[in-house]
Amino acid sequence: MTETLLQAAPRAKTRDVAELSEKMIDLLTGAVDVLEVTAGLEAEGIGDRIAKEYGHDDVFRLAAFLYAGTIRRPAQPQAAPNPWAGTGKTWVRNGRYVLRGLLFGMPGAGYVAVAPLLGQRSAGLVLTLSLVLCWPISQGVAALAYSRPTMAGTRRVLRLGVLYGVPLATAQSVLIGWLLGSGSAVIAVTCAQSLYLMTASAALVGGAEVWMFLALLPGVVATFAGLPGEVTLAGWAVTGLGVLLLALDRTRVAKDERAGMPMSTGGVSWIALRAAVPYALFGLLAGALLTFTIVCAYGGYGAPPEATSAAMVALSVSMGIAEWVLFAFRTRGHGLLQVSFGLREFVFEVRLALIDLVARYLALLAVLLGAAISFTPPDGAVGVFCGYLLLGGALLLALMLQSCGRTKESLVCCGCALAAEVSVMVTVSPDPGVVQLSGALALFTVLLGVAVAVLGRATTHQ
Amino acid sequence: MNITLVTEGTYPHAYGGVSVWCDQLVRGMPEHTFQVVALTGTGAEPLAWEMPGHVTAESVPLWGARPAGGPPSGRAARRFERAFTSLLELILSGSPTAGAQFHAVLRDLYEFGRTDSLSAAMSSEGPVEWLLEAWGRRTLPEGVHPTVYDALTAIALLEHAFRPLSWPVARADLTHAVSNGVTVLPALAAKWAYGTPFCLTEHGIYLRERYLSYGKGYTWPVKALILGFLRLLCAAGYQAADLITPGNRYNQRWEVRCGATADLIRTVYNGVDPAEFPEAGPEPERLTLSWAGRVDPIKDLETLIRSFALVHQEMPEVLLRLFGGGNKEYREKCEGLARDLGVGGHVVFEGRVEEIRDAYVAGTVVMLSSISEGFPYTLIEAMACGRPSVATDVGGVTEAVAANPNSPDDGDCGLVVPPRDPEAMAMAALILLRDEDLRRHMGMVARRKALEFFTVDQAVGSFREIYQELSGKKV
Repeated sequence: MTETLLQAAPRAKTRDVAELSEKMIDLLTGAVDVLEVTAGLEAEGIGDRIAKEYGHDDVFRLAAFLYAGTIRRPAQPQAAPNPWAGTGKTWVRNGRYVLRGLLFGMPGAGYVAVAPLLGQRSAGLVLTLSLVLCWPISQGVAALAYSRPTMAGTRRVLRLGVLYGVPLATAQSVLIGWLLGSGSAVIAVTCAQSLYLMTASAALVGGAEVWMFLALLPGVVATFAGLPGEVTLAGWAVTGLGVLLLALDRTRVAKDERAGMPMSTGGVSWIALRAAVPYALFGLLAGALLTFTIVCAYGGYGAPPEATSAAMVALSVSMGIAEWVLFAFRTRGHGLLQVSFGLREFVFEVRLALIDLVARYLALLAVLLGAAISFTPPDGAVGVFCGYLLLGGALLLALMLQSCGRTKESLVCCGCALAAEVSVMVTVSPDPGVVQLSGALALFTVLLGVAVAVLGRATTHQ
Repeated sequence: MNITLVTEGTYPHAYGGVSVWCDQLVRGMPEHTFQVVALTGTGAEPLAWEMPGHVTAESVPLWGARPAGGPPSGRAARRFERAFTSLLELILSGSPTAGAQFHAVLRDLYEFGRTDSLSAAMSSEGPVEWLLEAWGRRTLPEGVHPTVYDALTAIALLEHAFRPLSWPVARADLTHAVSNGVTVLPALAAKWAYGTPFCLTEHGIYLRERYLSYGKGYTWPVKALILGFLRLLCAAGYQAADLITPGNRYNQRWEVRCGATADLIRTVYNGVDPAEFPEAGPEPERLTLSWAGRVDPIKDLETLIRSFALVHQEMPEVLLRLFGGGNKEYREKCEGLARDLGVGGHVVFEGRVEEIRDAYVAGTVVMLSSISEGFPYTLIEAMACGRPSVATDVGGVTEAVAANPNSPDDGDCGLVVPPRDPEAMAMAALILLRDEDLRRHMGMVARRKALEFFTVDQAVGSFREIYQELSGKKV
């Protein structure tokens, strides 16, 4: 019965091989060997029985015949999608980096607003130490949130970061203030700073840039409009409340997204937690390197030049540009992989891209620093300008290494630089500005060398 | 006896025919201890099967984070370079006589992996450079210019594929690999380390399936390299196995062509539990063609629907019911096709059912339209239920429905038609739909053959004998 039915199918007794070859032309020209053709024919339902109708003993022989009769000319592949190239209009993407830069810098105005409340000598130190200790928490939470495979997971981790991070950061602010004998006003301002840092970080990772800008307006406008102190503080209170609400809104996990997600941990494993530690540590090291002269001042080494605070704000604004550089470098690196036919050619081009992007960042940072410092007294301004330019460059290189998965290299370099600066201060006690400048120069030079070597490898850009 | 059962992407983390087979096997032999080495994606896959007490499982992730260890230096680095460049040359040469050399290179890389991290060595810059150089020395097809990206992609695929080779395998009496390809790497490692014999079972043909999956989505140089590697690896698997046990005789064509010795091949058919598939009983009131399985393009439901449209022209009262979940887009495409052919109201996608037997009970005739199969459970389950079938001539289908060798005069247990041929399929369906006596007779001989040849007890019994036979065969 089987045989009868198979032969009784309404079709010609013999089949045309040329017709088959034409039908299967893409398979034939792109095949890597005869077996691929065999597999392709079988997938089309052509087995030994049908191969016989084409005049061949079995499908393997039919495949060999077809393969021998065609020239290999695979279709030109489409470029693999570049995972780093953003979507949407270029001006919107670039505008977002500018906006993020502004958002990093705008909170600086808050320090101007609260200056009258910070009469005590230790107030600046309390604020600085608290700031430096908040960074690792917010950086670690952000790294953990970005590592989640789903957006719901990201939002949950950010929410947990706010729920646990705010009390933790507040507690450490209170402790530092209490240890240094600060008054309640200073401790309150420090707590507000911690609250802002933790919630703003969640809102920013949650992509609420425009709303963040609007939330910051009341505080910033009130400060620069020269309004009475109480009104200005009220403006900043509105800002703080706005950012808190934004953070809560952007970290909400909808009911239908909760299926299978352990809400108490957000699905974070110990491995994921350990992977976020280097990012937290980098936050701590970067904070310590940037505030080095400020902290030294409270150790009795003399006040830093007034330009320092302005330079800090300029450097914060430049972080928006730094983010653009990171993405531009990854995009270019991925693109170069697909147009380079030899390793040497790739290495040369990708190093050129690295130098080009770092130079552009430094030029823009120089403009920002120059503009910010021009409003401050000229004493020590050149040293501050050079020091923060080099520090900005070094932090950019460290971030570039990190974004390519090389966290160890950037941590070791930054850690060594900080350790060297501290030991020089402790043993020789020269001018902290000179130590910071020398440290920044050495760090930038070493990181540039490491980046040229490591980021020039093809495997780094995988 | 301690048995290492090596699986890839199936038991105990996924459902499907091969997983059912594994579950039957381990449950059928409680006298042995089974250690399942499951090659998985990330290693985070949850268990899909509850394992009995004599079975333990460990996951070997192929795609998770890279195993620990740094790249080699000094003498180890030179040793790795020699082995790896030889590997690349053998793959790119495409020589049919590369088998023995490939086996030696694989062993070199295994020995290297015992003291150094093979993954770290393969993830360094060297392999990318060597591959680009090796490509540069060869004449490639017109218009093919491999890029650094191609080299990185190809080396990354190799690095992932090689991970099971360095997995520390436990000493056992036997390794049973449940497919060819990367699954044989732990089996080879156990053989080299302890002389453990190994049995290689293939339900489908691993290499054939990889030709189809790598055929799309990769550039020509990447595809050529990875398929060249898998071709050599499968040949090494066939040659090193002490016994090859395909799930049907049809598979032997590929196996022999890819390097298996015909004398070492013993077909062991899948089996069903007769208690789970008792006789279906009376036919449904309305003439119905039923289909059961995973909704997927490989099942070629389009041909089934086209053939049904032809049946519908002749017998408008007939219904087509399809049971099973799967690819939603494909289901929608098929529903669209049914509407376009004017039979939308007569084709019903029923979705998943608790008891798959219900799908066979619901059909006057059970249909199978796949373009590729091993030895389909759907068919032997329908046979056990005593339903006649119309199935495409793929894999072991013809063997399954051929007349019972013990009573050849009873005739075939179903009708076989060429794949992708709606007219032939419609003709076969009409023959059965129009002849109740023929249906009853075929259903009866199908059930008798299934109970005689395709039961779990027989499948498990065959492996019980094979295990005894092989365990005394230490190298």
